[in-house]
Amino acid sequence: MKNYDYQAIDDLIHSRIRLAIMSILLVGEDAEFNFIKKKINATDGNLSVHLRKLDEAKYISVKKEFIDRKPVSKYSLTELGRTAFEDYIKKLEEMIK
Amino acid sequence: MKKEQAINDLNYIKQIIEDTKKTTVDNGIGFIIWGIIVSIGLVSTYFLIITKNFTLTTPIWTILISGGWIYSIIESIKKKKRNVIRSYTDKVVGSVWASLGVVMTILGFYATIVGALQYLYLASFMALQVGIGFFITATIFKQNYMIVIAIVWWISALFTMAFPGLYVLLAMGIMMLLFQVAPGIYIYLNYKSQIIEDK
Repeated sequence: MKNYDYQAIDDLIHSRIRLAIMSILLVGEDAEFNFIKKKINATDGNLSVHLRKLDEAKYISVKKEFIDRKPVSKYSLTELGRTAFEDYIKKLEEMIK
Repeated sequence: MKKEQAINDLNYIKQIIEDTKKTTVDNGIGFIIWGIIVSIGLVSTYFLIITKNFTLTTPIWTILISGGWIYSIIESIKKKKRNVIRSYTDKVVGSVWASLGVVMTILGFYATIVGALQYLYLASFMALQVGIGFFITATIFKQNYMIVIAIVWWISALFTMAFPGLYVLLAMGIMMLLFQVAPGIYIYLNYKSQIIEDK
């Protein structure tokens, strides 16, 4: 049994910026905030808002650490997020069949 | 959602995934360092044997291989911190080369000592494994030239198994420079240009 609402997933991932974030995190085990920002050409504030939404939905998790005395936030997909994203892609594929 | 939009979204996802994968390429320094280490080992062993200084071969290999492992361990720790993204493909390729390194160390320092493998065929077995490493790396990173390199290593293994001799040490030493160090330099240059592009 799936432990998430199917309709909610669609809305949450469907935004372009969140779709981009999820796609980047699908490739990597984790990715830094600045890397995601550069890849999707977003501002700090805008990206933070979307990352928070995904974090609140438990699709991603964040780990904060210090590298060379600088604070670094690393994001990764959770199992729930991975499943939701895979379902989202499946749904898109079904639509174009 | 319309069909066109679904196609657009799928293309968008594919494009981002492909673009992100490009960022996760290896810097090639490991290929260069290990290629030089093994090349020095093979060539120096060749000259030590022809000058009949047999006792020096084991200490030289011990120093070289230990140095290589110390470098690899330090580099993997640094890489973990330095990388802005840690990909699964990098992890798989890293694990493949690390496990091949362990096997080669076991073959070189254990199998030959206990007599499970003759010294004469050691370089051939190493060539087989270097071929495996290149083939898997080629498949994962879609680098066709590496498949050619893998085949070259496997052919050299077949040849040196059929025609063993002291010359194999020298030939493999040169092959290391051509088919391990040179591809490493190529990977390094690509990595550098990728970093400049990202900046």
